[in-house]
Amino acid sequence: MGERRRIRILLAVLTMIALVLITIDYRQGDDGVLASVRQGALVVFGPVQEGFSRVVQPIGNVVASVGDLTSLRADNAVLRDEMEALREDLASLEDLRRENSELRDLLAMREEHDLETTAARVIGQPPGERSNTVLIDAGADEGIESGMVVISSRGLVGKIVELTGSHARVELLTSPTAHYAVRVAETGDTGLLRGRGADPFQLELLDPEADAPDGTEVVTRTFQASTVPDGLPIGEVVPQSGDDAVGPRFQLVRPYVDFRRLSIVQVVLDAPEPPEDLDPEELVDPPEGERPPPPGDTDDEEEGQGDNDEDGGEGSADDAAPEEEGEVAGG
Amino acid sequence: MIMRLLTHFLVLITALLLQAVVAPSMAVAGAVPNLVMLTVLMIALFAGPGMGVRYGFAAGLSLDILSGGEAILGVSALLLLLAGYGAGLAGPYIAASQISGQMIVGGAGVLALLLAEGLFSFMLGREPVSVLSLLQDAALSGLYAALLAPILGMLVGRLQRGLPEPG
Repeated sequence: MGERRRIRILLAVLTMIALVLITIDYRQGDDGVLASVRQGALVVFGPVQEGFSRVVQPIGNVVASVGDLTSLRADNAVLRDEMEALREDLASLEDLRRENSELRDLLAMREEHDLETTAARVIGQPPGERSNTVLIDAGADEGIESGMVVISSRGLVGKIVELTGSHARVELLTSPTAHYAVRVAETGDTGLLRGRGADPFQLELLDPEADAPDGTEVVTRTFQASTVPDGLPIGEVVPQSGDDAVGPRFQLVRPYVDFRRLSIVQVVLDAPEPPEDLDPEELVDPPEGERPPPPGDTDDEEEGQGDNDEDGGEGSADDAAPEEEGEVAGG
Repeated sequence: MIMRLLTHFLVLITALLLQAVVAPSMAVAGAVPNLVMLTVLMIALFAGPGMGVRYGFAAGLSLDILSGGEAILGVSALLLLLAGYGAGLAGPYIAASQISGQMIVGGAGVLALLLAEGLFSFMLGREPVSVLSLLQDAALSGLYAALLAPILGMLVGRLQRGLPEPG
């Protein structure tokens, strides 16, 4: 009983003290004795608190980080999402950079050969090694016609074989049915190029004595009614090996164009259309009073022979070409 | 007796320092743990109303002095000595289920103390706050205190058992 009473007395005394303190402090405000006591306490407690803070602050930080775990996880998720988005943007940026470079090359190719073209995107890649056609997202509405030549920034790609108003199918150079009249850039020797799928193309030189050294460039050659512009790069001669070795007249050509990675191409709209033969109605009459040189004239004969040689050279190619050209047209 | 006083003094200093340095970084949804209030309640729970009153008064007075003029001197002293007395009286009745009892005393005690503090502040014209925010803060702090109470209760309980019985 004494203990309880003592506690109650203590409670009453301390309560009275507290109430007195409240009253005094409330009346005096910040200028009284109690305010000075507060300041004195802060002077003593301040350094203690500072020292304690230095010791305990790391623990406090750890505790705080545990408390922030939920928000940290949320932040982490948000940051991860942002990072993924940035990665996707970066990938798109790389794609745009590549596409930009490709378009610049295409433009350079177009200006170099002075061609009027329309750009198209390849929307259907060959599904397998045996596929030798692709679809492009441009068709008759863009002025494209069947037989027009398709080029990429690296060279000749193929020809339009089918088209609708908005799409067209391109037969690639790789097609075994596609034959093109070509020229060895270094020597001027002419020949016929045949696609062989994924393998290097086969170049058949028309002159049996001709040879195409390894590494020489092969370009297109305008030939009679061909719609292929002259001088478009195709590829380079590569060494023959194993079963492919069939003699100097037959060479292998590795294409410049990577047919598995076609993305943007150009369709040549203003391809030259040389006549198959001279139109008799357009023949120009020789000037009056001049006669053709007599057959016995040596100089003229030599000169004429020279011309005949040139023509004969070209002609020999042309002799072989009609049947080949028929194949080209057929391809 | 001196040993008990010294020990409780050290507990009080530690609680004050932890309250000033560590507690702010333990805030959850704006609620800061009231470690000083909790130690008052737990010591009162284990040591009885006599120690609860003395420790509560000392702790409250310390809080008032160290508040830097934000609180009126004596308010926390009055509230904590009453809380210490009440928790000390409740001690014998919750001994059977200590953890839940500690959680109830800690949570309800802190909730009541914060509401009473808000009421005093309102009555004395200090820190006018809306009733809703006062209730929200008090509820969150009470919940936080209820969760921390078993940990502090375990520490204070071990400390009390290690002290010599008062002569």
